[in-house]
Amino acid sequence: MHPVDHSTIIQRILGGDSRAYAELVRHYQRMVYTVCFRVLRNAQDAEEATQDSFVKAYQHLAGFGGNAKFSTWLYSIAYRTAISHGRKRRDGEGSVDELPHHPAADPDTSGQRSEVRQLLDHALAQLDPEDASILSFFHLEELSVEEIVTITGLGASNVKVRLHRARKKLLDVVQATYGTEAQRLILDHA
Amino acid sequence: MPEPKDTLHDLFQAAGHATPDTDLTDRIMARVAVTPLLRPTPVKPILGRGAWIGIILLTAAVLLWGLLGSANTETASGPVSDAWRTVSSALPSSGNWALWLAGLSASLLVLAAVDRVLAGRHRSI
Repeated sequence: MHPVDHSTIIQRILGGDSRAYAELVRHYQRMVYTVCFRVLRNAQDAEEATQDSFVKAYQHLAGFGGNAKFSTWLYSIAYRTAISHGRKRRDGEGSVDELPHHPAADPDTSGQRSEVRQLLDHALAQLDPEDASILSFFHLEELSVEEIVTITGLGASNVKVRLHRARKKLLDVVQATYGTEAQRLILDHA
Repeated sequence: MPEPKDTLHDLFQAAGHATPDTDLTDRIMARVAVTPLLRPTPVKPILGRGAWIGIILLTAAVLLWGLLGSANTETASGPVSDAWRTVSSALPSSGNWALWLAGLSASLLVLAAVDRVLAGRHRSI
């Protein structure tokens, strides 16, 4: 993924060029969608939450002070929006314990990567959605504990404990359900 | 950061990001096109620099008047002392009005300080 000059793009948007926002959307949409998907575990809900997150971020772009990284600020909006969508869904429809559902026409769900992703999606579905998100922030986005604290609003010790427990549980689930297949898929993909 | 030889880390990296529908950018931009940018409105303190100076002067004046006035009432005569006696006779005898006024001025000073702190904090968000 090519680097993006956030400050220049943000200045253009604040100057009235709203189309410049498409560059930020294209750069971050998969990351934001992944955050929302980890919390909501449903492609349709995740897409709605992703749209809402980007619209909120656009609305409040003038308030982005640049003290944190833009990605951290955006993840924070996405995480909170997804949590809020999840609460509304639970309040409206009762308990939802569904398996992750991706759209059928996903252009990037073919081959080895698709197999690994399905394995991970099903394993993460056994975890609390917030724990799954924290794991994703740590292992996929490679964020530090401090950044995860900023995004989630949880305390540092809480994040560390959740990370430790979630890692252990996910490893147990992966090993119990998939055994050596997971290792083979990872090695094949590498 | 995760350790390099970490099965879970490898698993996440191998799986990569989830992929949304291809037209998601268009849908987001369609909503953005009809969404106004919210500009943070600058918040001015209720009490400006002039009010600050006024409150400080009032506090100092009340304290001085209270100290000098109470020292002069018993001996001095003249228009100021007469006015002082008139005001103090109208106040309830159980209260020390100078103390009350000084307290009021000090409270205003504290409120003004809080006002400026809150305005500063709003600016820094």
